[in-house]
Amino acid sequence: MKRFDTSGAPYLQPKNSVSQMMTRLLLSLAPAAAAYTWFFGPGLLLNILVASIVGILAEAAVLNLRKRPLRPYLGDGSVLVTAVLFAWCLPPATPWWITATGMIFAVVFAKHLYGGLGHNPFNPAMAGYVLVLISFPQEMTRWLPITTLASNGPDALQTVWATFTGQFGGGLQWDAVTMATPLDYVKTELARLTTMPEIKSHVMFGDFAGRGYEWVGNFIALGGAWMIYKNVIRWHIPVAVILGVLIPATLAYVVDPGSNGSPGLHLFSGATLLGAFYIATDPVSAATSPRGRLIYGLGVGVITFVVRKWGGYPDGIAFGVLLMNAAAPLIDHFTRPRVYGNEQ
Amino acid sequence: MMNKSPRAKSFHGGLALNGHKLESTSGTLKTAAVPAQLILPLTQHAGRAAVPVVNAGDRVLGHQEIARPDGEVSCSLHAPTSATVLGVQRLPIPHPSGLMGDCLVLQPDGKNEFGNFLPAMDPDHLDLPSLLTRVSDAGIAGLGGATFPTATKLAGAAASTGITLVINGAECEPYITCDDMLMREQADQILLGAKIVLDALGAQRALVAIERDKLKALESMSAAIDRLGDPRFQLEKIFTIYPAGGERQLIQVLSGKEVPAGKLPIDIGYLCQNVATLAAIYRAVKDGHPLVSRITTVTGSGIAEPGNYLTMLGTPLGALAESAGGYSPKASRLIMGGPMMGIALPSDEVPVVKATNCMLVLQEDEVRATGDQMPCIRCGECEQACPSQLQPQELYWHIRGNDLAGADELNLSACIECGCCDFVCPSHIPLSQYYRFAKSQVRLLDARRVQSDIARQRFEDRKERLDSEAARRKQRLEEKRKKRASQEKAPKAIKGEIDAILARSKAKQTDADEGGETQ
Repeated sequence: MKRFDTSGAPYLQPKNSVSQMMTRLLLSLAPAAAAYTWFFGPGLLLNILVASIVGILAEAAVLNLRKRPLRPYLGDGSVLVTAVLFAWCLPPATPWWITATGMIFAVVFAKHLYGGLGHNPFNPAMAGYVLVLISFPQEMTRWLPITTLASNGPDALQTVWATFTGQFGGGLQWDAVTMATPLDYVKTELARLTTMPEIKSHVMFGDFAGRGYEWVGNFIALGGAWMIYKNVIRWHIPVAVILGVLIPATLAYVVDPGSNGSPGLHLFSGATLLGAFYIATDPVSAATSPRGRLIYGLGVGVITFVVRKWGGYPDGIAFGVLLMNAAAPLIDHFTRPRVYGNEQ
Repeated sequence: MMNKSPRAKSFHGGLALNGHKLESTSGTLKTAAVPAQLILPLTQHAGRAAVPVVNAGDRVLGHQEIARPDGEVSCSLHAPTSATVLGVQRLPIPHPSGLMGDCLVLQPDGKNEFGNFLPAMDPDHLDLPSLLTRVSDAGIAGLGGATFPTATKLAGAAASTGITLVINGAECEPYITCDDMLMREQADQILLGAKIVLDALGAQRALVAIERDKLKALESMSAAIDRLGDPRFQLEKIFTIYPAGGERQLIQVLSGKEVPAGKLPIDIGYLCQNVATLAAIYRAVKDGHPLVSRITTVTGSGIAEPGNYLTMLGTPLGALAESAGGYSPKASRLIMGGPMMGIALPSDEVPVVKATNCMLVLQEDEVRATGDQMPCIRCGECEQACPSQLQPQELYWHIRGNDLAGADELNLSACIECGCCDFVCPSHIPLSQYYRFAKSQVRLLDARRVQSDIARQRFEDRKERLDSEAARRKQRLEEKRKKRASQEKAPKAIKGEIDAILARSKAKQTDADEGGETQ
């Protein structure tokens, strides 16, 4: 007689794991990060570095307080994803204490006070971002121009210096080098009754939207497509977010092209693509059923457009995501598919 | 007869799994050795345990009935070969906990003598009652794995008209190839068995459903259909997707129809029979042979010579493994059935039963680890994979929160426990186990509710009885009192009587006083 171990069915080894999903997500962002660095300097990488270190420390501290094992929860990669996405939303060379404040809020308050991975109703990266956006309004608008346009811009060392001290050093002042983002510029100029064609003649614009930003957007969309191919995310949310932005943007543009940004501008500016593929798709805080995800994504897109057009902020992805996060349980409740053999 | 392109997959979800079928189909069908002892559990079918009809010390011939069915949903057992009955013993039966059950233990005498206990019948002239009796007498149960008594299932179809018989050759779970092998080697028996069922039920149509990658089985069955020349038979190639062989999923693939919740396939005119069950029916009718053996796939990296073995029921799995060249050094998991829905067994003493389509032995590093569960991240992969289109992640939340009523409301009962959700879960949550647990709890609660309903009814009845008795007694007393009151004298008369008594006693007193004075 031979004895064997037992366990419950099924016995096949799963092909997927949370850490694999997170790793693939981070990998898929690498080309876009490289493009971003190419166009705007190492500021993004410094943001990511600061956010990751602070995020991991905060996660470890809270896990310790909550008496949870460190290895599986730090190893799942979820805190790194939060850190990268949060850092991506910040202007390059954001002073480290701002990054740290947002990251600690994201990990401690938005994630762990609700119960940690899988239990947070709001996207932690967006909660952290909105906190610093509201708390540090000035710093959050200090965007660096594309390096090819700024002969007087900061070099790599100055960017590092700015990240850790808040000043570039060498007599270089923030006001001298920062530049509005395309969305910000459009918003301000439209308020001054400048027409879109005039606005678009500014040197910062490329084919559709801001120079450099367009290319980063392309790589983000490519990374997103690869994630869909690898089943890290499903297509519903990205498609719905993009449609949610494009449909009202196109309508507005058709009605009045003079005072509305083109659909291309909306698609390639701000966080539309990052939001569609990487932020709104955070499964924990999004709707789950396919129909629910379409509604959720459309909501994110439409709110983004509304904030951009009528709101006080140039971009609205973060608000769209947080508001739709709050609506996700309700959406899930009303979009349950019909179960086999049952009436609707 | 074969339609060229396969049927489109028409059920939700499912998985494309690595089949692992070649290991056990490279050779031909082999016969497992007769073991030293045959262990025949009295419950190896869905329903009530069979009742032994032999005693310890009896000598039985092969094919002799050794246990009778008990009630409508039960199944008889027969001796696989000539043997001496050692008696009924409590031994481990196929169950993950190592549960013990009553088993008839036989010691084969090696003479392999068979008796003719059931007369051969003419397959072409068989009415339904005779077929049902024969199927019941032969102890046939569904050999696809569910082992529901076949006679009961066929009897349930008797009242239906316009039945489509689905001949289930879709063996969708990885590793298992016993039906594939049967279709390759005994295609005619399957079809003739199906024809008997068709004729007896007056059914118009038989669909032979086989996955498109079972090329040899398709070829063999197609040729057999041509040989049979019966226009009612049609071969249906289907996509290879797990769990396409599930009764409800297969019907959906073939007809686009769903079996309504709480109903059976026959309620929408479909009767599913596994290929091995049909072949068993044919042998029971044509040759009078009861079900005493089955083809079992013995496979997995833990088996030296994987293959399909014609095995006597009651053969201990350890003995069967020896027939298949023994275990490989790293064998560490024993599974009866497939890797998605099978039962992990703690020891190989457990015998082959009617449900044992596969003996799968795996190495530790091939089996999913336990205890690495992460929190649910609501990714929805389970929802995408669920063939019943449930929301597994929501069911999981309800069950974790001990909200069985909530889980029930989300149609927990529609779960077929196929394990698809488990397999795709990135957090490695053993979802099927949660559902199995919750279903058993729901059943338990239902049973308790029935019991408590009975108890409450009994209490209320008793209270009512006591109340009405009390009311009757009160009424009787009341009547009695009234009656007495009317018979009794009026108060004045009583007063008169009392006065009279007082007067008399006074008079006595006076007499006594006077008397005293005289002394």
